Amino acid sequence: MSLFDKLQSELDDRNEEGGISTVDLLELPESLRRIMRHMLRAVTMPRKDVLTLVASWPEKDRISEEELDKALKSLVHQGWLIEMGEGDLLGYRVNLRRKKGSQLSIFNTIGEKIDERMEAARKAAEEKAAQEGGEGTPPPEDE
Amino acid sequence: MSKIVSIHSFRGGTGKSNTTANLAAQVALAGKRVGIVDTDIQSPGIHVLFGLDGVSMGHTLNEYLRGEVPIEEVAFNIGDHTGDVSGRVKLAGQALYLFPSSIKGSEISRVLKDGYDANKLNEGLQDMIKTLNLDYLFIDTHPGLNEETLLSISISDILILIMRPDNQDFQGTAVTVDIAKLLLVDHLHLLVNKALSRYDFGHLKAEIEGVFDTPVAAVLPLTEDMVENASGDIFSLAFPDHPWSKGIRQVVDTILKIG
Repeated sequence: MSLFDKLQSELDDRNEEGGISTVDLLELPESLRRIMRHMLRAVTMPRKDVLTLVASWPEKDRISEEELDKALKSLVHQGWLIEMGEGDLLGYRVNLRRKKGSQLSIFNTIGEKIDERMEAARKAAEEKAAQEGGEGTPPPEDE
Repeated sequence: MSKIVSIHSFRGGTGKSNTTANLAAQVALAGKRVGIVDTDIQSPGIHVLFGLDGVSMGHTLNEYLRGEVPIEEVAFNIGDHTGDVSGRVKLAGQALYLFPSSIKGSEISRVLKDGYDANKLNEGLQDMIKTLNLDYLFIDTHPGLNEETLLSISISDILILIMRPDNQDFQGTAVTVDIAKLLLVDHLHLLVNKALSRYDFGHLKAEIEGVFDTPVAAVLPLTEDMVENASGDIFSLAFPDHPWSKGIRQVVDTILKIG
């Protein structure tokens, strides 16, 4: 099974939306994991830089330009990569899945209470410091 | 080229934030431009080691993730605000920047409830490096394996995995090592912390390297002196001759040799 076929079968098994999770990243073939890692660092990576990267690998690890383009197209189709520009300016960026929120966090219940207590403690400390500072400095006498 | 260094542990309580602060401070002291980002948005803590509280830390990563401030406004210049404790004062004038996460309960609640754009987090991390022309960006992560952790491992050049010589740490660390290898991190090192002084550190290092097939950057002793410091100062700067500090500088040498 070629790299593209492996990837396609993997993608066909999924019906997820909204970008790639880092767990998905773990399941990609090594060559694509390597490319995605570079793209994450570069934020946006021109296609020509992807080709240069692949050409820098040991011969046994390299993938053909045709196979690479198929794999990149598949990732774009899946919404895991965003294609930008065209022709010589064609480039890609990784589309990470949004970190989901949760209603279950304990902070949803006690977050504001923690703030109120912290603020009260801060004010109490300030007042104490002001009082201690004030003890040594008598207030000015009325004339 | 700038390097991203993630400091991670599978379990909590390994001394991750303390180690991150000490490594970053020592690298800054070596004349490098250094950033530290607290991606432990659920339980931030590294700001304490630099003498900051919820008010003095200024803008936070949470505000950046909500699109309220650009990332450069989150950078807190430690070199200009060291305070007067004996260790941190040595950082005066050094290029060391902290990107803190909010410690306000309501802010933590908000980010946990609403989630955030992971692309924005990644862009922010890369922008920190460019904007401040950093040589090294240290990422202090949340313990365990979650999306933020895996993202920081994915983009790291160097990953330091902290573990204690404890059977629970051994199993969790084994999983994390496997994942780091799958994510093709270029330089993966283990750091053993809180080892009992009576142990033969050389033997322990060799044993752990054999089990994980991964180099151990240093073995740091369990010490009451560190507990007494209570995150009040950067320990390795305050007590440079302490065995724990010497171990930290060993790790720093490893990081600097990588480039």
